[in-house]
Amino acid sequence: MAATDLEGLGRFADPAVLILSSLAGGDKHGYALVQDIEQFAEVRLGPGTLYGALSRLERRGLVEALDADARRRPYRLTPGGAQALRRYLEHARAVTATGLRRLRAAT
Amino acid sequence: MSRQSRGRGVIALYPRVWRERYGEELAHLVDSMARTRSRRNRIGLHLDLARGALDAHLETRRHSMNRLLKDSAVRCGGRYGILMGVAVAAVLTFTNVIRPAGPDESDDDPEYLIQILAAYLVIAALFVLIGAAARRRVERADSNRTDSTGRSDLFEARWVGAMAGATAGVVLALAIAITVLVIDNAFFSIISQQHDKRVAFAASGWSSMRAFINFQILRGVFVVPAMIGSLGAVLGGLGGLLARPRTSRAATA
Repeated sequence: MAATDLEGLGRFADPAVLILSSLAGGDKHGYALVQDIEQFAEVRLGPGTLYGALSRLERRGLVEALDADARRRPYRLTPGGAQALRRYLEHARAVTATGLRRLRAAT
Repeated sequence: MSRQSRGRGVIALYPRVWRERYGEELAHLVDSMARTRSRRNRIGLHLDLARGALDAHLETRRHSMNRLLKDSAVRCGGRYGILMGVAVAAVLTFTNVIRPAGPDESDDDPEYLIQILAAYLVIAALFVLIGAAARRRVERADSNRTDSTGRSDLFEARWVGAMAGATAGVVLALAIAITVLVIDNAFFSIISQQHDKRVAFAASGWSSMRAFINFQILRGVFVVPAMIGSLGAVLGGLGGLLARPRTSRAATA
């Protein structure tokens, strides 16, 4: 992972990227996040993993909780979260491009 | 037991602070996911929750420990504890290695007993001073409206002295343990000649004096920091009490 605000998340690093990517498409509560991530990444996050990552992202100021709607609380991507996600994805894109280029050259 | 109550049962494993913040929405998510999952997937869901609870406990403890270690009262006590530890390490090295006592001299001899008691009194006085210094420092920071550096986020002013004293005590105890562990092993040929060590070893029934000495030190590591830390807390608290601003003294009088 690039040197970003997402460092030090341990096993929650990948779920954190998925959550930030999902929230980049709009505010969502827990269940909507799980469904969206399953749809665009084909990854089914468990509730413990989702909230473990969400709590860490909130503490780092990368997402913010909005007012609860009944028992559901939507979350929003903060400007800092958007910047962290952008940096991470640009780094991942550069790594992906290099890897694919080298694979093409090798075959 | 219903699916919903099973989910809530696992959520009860999370730390209280965590449950208060996320418990309700997590329970809602678990209920929503359980409705659409097969029995096998629901087991995986509960295992994921249990693992999340363990993570939450570890994270909460880590966060609390980080906050504690960053608090100015703890930092102040830690700095003074390191200074005391260095001084005591120097004294221990000098009296055990550079100028060791004779083979028949004991710590219980009146000459040494007075020196040891004097050292204890100096350390006790230092704990009082540390408590007073820490409280003054925090009170000064509290009165500075433009700069929050040095304020204690975790402790009220009246507890700052006790916290600083306790921290200094624990740091001092660890410094003593490390010093003794190093010199007793590195200079074993000198240390093993000490009267008190020979007597204790003879009465212990151990076959190896080095193993006996190291066992004693390691056993002390579990007891001495708590003892000196408690003593530091009491004396540091006293120092903090003596150092409280005159206005608050008058208010409580």
